[in-house]
Amino acid sequence: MRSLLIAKREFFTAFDSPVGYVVLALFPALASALFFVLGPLFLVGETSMRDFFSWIPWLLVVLAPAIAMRIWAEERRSGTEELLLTFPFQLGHLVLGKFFGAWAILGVALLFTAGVPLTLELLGDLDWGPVLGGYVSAMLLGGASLAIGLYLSACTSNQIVAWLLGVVVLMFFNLIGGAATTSAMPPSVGRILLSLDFGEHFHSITRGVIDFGSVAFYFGVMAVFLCANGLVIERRRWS
Amino acid sequence: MSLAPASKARRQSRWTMLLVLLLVVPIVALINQLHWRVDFTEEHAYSLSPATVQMLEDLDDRLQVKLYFNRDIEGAETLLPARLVIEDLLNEIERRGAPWVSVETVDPTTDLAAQRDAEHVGVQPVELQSQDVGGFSASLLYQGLELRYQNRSEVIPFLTPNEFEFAFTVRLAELQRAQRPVIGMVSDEPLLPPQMPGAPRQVPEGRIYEQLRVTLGQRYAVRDIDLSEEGAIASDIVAIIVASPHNLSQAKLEALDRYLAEGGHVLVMQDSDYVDPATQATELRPTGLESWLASYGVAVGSEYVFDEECVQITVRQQVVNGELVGVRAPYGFGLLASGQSLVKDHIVTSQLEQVAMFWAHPLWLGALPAGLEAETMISSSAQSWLLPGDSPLEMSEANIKALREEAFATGPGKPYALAASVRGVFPPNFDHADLEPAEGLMVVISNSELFHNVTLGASSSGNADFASNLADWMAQDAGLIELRSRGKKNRPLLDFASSYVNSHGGWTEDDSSNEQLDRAAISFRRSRQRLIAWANVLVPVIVVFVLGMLHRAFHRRRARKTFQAGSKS
Repeated sequence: MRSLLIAKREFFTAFDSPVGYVVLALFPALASALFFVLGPLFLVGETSMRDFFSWIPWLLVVLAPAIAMRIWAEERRSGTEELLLTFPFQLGHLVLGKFFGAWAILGVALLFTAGVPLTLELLGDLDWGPVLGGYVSAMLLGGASLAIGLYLSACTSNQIVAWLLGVVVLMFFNLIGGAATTSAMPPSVGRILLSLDFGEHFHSITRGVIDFGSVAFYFGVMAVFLCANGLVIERRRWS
Repeated sequence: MSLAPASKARRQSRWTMLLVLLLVVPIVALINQLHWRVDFTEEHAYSLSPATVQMLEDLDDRLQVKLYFNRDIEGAETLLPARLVIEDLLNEIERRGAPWVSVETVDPTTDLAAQRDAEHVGVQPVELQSQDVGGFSASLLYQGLELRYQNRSEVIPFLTPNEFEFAFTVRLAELQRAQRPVIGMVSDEPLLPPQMPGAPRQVPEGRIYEQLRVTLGQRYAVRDIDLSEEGAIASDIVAIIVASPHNLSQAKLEALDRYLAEGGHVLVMQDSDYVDPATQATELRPTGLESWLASYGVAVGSEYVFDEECVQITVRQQVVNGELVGVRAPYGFGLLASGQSLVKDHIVTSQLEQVAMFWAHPLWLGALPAGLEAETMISSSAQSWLLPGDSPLEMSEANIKALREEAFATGPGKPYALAASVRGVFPPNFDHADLEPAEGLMVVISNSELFHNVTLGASSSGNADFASNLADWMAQDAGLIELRSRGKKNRPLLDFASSYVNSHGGWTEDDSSNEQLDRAAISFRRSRQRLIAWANVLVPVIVVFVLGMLHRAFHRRRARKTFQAGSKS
């Protein structure tokens, strides 16, 4: 409950500055532009959102750190972090609250892309299974990306540094299972790298198959980085 | 010595978080091993069908599956998600077939022994050309499968992801069966000459159902049988196809009658004429089955069904925008059964997209003898009419126009049955000694050109799938029917150009107006696509902007009120 209070505050604070609005407008606009304007939708003539979802991991590489960058770094820069840590909240509530707030912003940004499947349904016979899978997958991938972004935001007081580090780390997780990386490794190492690849799990769910292994992977990443986030804040609290 | 409260809380917090970190990895690994999943796709395209699961559960010996597969192909990375479906389904096959199924994946591009094995069993790579900075490069794509069960093996040289499960299940069925089921073929076609060693077999010109034999031959042994011979219908025959015979003799009819009365499965392609697909020349050809079929309440009319849901044929060439294009016209005798015309409650037709029928006749189902039940499988559309059996069939523009006018003049259109099944205990039409009655099945199609080499050769029509579905149903392999159609559903986008042309009265005979209409349709399509694209890009931006403005106005108003309240106090 306390986490939700923090999440609510975090969510609405994001819209006190233009950054929240920019993210909210940019995400659906870019996703739609890549799909409708630059993508081969009308050329192929197939009622499918496969191409739409194929861009999502790359959009999240840029936008998830943009949502997360200010969350801890801004508190630290403006000196409100110390005050926040004296509030009667457990550290877990703080970390989860901030995470849920950021996740809600991403959820709203994804909600603004709802026009895409609705348009396709008007233009043809859309299979809603992969669409549902795609959105679930985007939320999970977004959650994992935000957890990483939050951890990096907690590590620095500079938002730009937090964003840049976020982009680099997310790029790493999106490329780790690619042909260029895995082919240079022994097969067993390649398989491990592939199982850590964000895109691999993402595409598995966007087909319309909710694979609990992939769901567990994303929640695992969230848990690891939120715990790491907590440890960083914890260390600072007592230092 | 006790710890200070701050230090204790700090340690507690650290330990909790470290514990979570340590638990996450094994929990995720464990859930990954369980392979739990939910398939939300409309056709459950990524889940095994009940037919495959049943076969895997029926295994009583070890099934070794070897997948020859290379994941990383330079220049073909976009193919990977579709290709991974194969690995995904094989994982499920291994899980459902445990402990009998073992799956091994080898990469012949990195493993020399696997490359030799692939060559040995007949798994061939596909060569992919890609262009890069240094010029063209070629990559090999391996996607084959070998199945070993008991002392036999089956190979799929190249797997298509969409048809993987069907191909796998068919091969598995082959391995589990002692021998292939046989389909008997009764027709008046010339027999194949004996095979000469080292020489390709010459197919005589009149073998008009050779393509049907090839299609069914993927799953069955197709045997030409002469019903007049003693013992022609052997016990290994699971179904008989009677393909447009000519004056079937009484002896043959008696054999067929006995077979059906004793529980046989018969497909009859019956009409009173044969039309040459190339020349549309008609030859009257009474089959001799007319009165026999009538005794079961089935009759095939001599008229032709003329349908508005039909193929478009090129009737002449004309110049549009400087290019020579064919002018197409709807040929009502080449009807295309789709949607409502393919009965969705019937297992054979429920998954079919389309069946093409040229020069079909109406099928009349009258009063059936007690114990028999009839079910329509295919009918023409509601916009169809009957034209006399002596109507000219040429595919010329003038004839098509005259036929349409003649059809429309006969009154409102209505659907006509074109294929139906009759099931039950068939009362014999002849006296048979030692007859053992049993429930039989007869399918009647009022069109003998349906499975003609020419019609089956047209890959776009679903006739081949219809033929295979019928054979599977009659051979009691209904589970395969559902599998065959999986993943084949087309989901085309609305074609704005076509809808524009249709809403403006369609193509005419005037070249210049067609040219204008074509230009306008293309322009309409472009404008609609642009509108859709930019509406999707800009609407969220505008909505966010408006919300931002409202949020700002709300905050300013609240701040002003607070300020006014403060100054009053």
